[in-house]
Amino acid sequence: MTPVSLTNLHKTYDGTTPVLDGISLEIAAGELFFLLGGSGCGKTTLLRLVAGFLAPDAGGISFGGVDITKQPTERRDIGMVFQNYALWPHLSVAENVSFGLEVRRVPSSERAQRLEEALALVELSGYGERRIGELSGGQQQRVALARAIIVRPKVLLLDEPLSNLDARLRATMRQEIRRVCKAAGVTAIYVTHDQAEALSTADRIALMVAGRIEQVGTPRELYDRPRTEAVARFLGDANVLSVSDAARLTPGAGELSLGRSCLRPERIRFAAAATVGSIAARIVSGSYQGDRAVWTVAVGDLHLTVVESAPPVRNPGEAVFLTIDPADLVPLT
Amino acid sequence: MKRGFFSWLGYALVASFLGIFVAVPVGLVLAGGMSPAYLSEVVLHPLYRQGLINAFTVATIVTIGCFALTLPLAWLAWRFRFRAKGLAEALLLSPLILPPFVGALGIFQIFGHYGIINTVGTTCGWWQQGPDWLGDHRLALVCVSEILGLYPILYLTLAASFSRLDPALIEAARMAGADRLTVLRRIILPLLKPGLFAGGALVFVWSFTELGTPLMLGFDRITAVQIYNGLADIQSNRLPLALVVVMLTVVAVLYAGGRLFAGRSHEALVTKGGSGDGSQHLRGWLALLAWTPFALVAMAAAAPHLVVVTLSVAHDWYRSLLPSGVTLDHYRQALADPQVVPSIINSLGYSAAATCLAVAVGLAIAWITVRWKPRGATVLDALAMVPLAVPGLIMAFGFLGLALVVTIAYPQLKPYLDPQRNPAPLLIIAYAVRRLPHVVRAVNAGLIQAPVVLEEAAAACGAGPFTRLWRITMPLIAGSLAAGALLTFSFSMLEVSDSLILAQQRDFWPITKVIYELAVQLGNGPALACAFGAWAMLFLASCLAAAAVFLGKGPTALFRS
Repeated sequence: MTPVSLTNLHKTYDGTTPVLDGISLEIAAGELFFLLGGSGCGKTTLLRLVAGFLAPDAGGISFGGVDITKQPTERRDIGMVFQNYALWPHLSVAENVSFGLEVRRVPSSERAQRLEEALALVELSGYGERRIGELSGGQQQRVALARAIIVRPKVLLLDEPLSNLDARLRATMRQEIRRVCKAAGVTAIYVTHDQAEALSTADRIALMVAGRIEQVGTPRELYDRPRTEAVARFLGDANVLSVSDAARLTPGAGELSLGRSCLRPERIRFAAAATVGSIAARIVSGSYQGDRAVWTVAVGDLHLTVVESAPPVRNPGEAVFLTIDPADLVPLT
Repeated sequence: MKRGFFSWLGYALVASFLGIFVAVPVGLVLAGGMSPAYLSEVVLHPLYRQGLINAFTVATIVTIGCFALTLPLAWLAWRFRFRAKGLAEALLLSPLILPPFVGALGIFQIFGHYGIINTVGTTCGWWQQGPDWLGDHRLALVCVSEILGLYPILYLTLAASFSRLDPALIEAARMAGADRLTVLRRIILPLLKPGLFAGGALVFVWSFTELGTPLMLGFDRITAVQIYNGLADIQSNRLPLALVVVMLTVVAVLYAGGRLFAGRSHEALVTKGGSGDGSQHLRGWLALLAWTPFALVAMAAAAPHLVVVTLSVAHDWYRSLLPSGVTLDHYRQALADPQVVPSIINSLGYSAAATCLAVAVGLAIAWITVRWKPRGATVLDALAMVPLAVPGLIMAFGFLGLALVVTIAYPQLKPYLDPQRNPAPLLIIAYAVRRLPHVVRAVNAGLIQAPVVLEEAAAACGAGPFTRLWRITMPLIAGSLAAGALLTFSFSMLEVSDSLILAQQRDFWPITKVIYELAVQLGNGPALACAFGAWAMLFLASCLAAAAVFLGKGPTALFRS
């Protein structure tokens, strides 16, 4: 297993506007590491730098302590799963999967054995002779994964590999990818814009905004303790409060931090009646979603988002009481 | 992806090829003819001035005639759907596989003193002795012949422009209260303008510089033929080069003017979620009515070539509507002619070599411009397209100049580059350069359609540049490559300008040169030329059909850009 080190990477396309602005990351051996961010944040550019499709303007990339910044893609010993899978339509499933072994001149007997193992790992045994066009989206995704791992790469790169699948299949495939990566024992870098995918699958996540790493941590660290407003808002819903708003919502909580803070909507609870520490509010609007409801409530002129599980019927204009634990207020930098 | 030494080496080789065989020949023509004395001679000498005036007249009439034929037909095809419309359009485009150079042989039979028209007139009692069409109306015949040969080029451009018109834009204008004329004037014509200018300029330039048709019809008071006739003493008299410079200047001014007037093309004329193609379905006699003009134009265009085929099997065809009998003697005699079989072998050899060269260079250019895009790639692409804009006649003169310059500097190369001793290398390069734009366009399209990510996936699997090209890229663009290669091969077999000008040594004559020499021979020469021409047309049609199969498209789609 190979650790990956990215050091102070810079990249521009036009020579002036930075697409990546000093990215440094340490990814542990065997880790399933997610690069998460919105469109244009630079996550795919970063992955393409690691793959060798692009060259950085400055900075370095090393695999297992060996600098590979100037090596061409084919010498980096990587496997890659592309967003649209990039399966070769003129080759069969078996030819697609074993292509990497073929170009490495692996003997045919070993090639056949590893092909069987790879297809079994992605649960496609017996599909070797099929044409790519005969496979469903999910099966194509598995072939792409098998093709990437069969060469036993040092590093596996995944570029939004589930974005072309429907929601149900996506949920299944997340766990499949995690299982396969862990079974192969490979260090994997996974790019996505889907926060649910990152939170449910990653060992660690780097959240990127405008070419910079905003925060790195485990999914729970990023969700529960976001360091910046951008992180708080990108991962789930967030009420971002000023000092005075926070003081208004947590009367008697004593001295609060000096900056803004984040309050997750599911941390706000409805009280049955006015109690000590509860605050009066009014329902502005609501969105019923079956197992929960998302309410907009007004506390004076302050509007908050509140998520309530097993929600009762509430009507706009209805008076309600809220309780908030001051410990749930997360200070932002 | 990062590029290594071999990529840069390929880039340098391709750039050198285009520099030496495209930029230098054009530059040499310009330099060779830029003599004030010769240029003033061209303008002041009544013969040459008349040649230029005739060239202008022919080009103008041909362009207007092509517009008159194709604009209504393109509109019909855009506005209406009817049964077998595809077939009607395919028939309309049939002149693309019927070289006007060969068709001119049929024009003689149709308009000859004792030809079909005069025979019909005499039989019907319109005249005792018909007009001398070939004597008094040769310019008109050149125009008619070229209109019937060139209108498909304009039709393709117009049809493409019409197909990019979004019906929603027209509907929006109608809903805003505009009447049909206003819609035509304010919406349709402005949107079509780039296509109209592009197609019109192409036809004008083509007919302005066309050599084969006036030469075959014996119309020598036109610049292209004057240049050709001046070829014999080009070393002592540079007047033809001055004529070529004048021609190139006119062409450049035309293209520049066209660009200026046409403005930028409207890339995205069709909006998303439009309300269908807006065409109206015709049935019954209305469909038949729509079919009629297509059939009439196609028949008129094919008539000279049908006559050529008939002549090739005619026993005797003189003062009668139809030949007196059928014979295969002309084919037998043509095959027995000492020039014919060697010319077929020569043409096959030149065309095969030119195809390999054009495919290798075209693939490299397309890969550099589509996949790599280094600095200067657009210049490379533009240079590769120059042979589309610069007439064959001018390019051929450029190659002559290049051969002259090189053999003077390096006399040891004379046996390989002097067209009077061995024109084969020059002919191969000339054929390859002329068809290079077709190969580049075909491979460009193939590369654009084959996502780059498929090559990246191969690189990620550990495949080096050559493995990626051979195992992934080439199989994916095989259809485009094969189509480009077939187009190059088939058009090289029937290339006129380069063949007539560069093939100066009888042993090296290609097919077209022999057809021309047979056609001007006394006795049964024209009949043999017809037999040979008919065979050539069949060959070209078979090649184009094969190219269409490779591309998986209709034959007409091969010519669409």
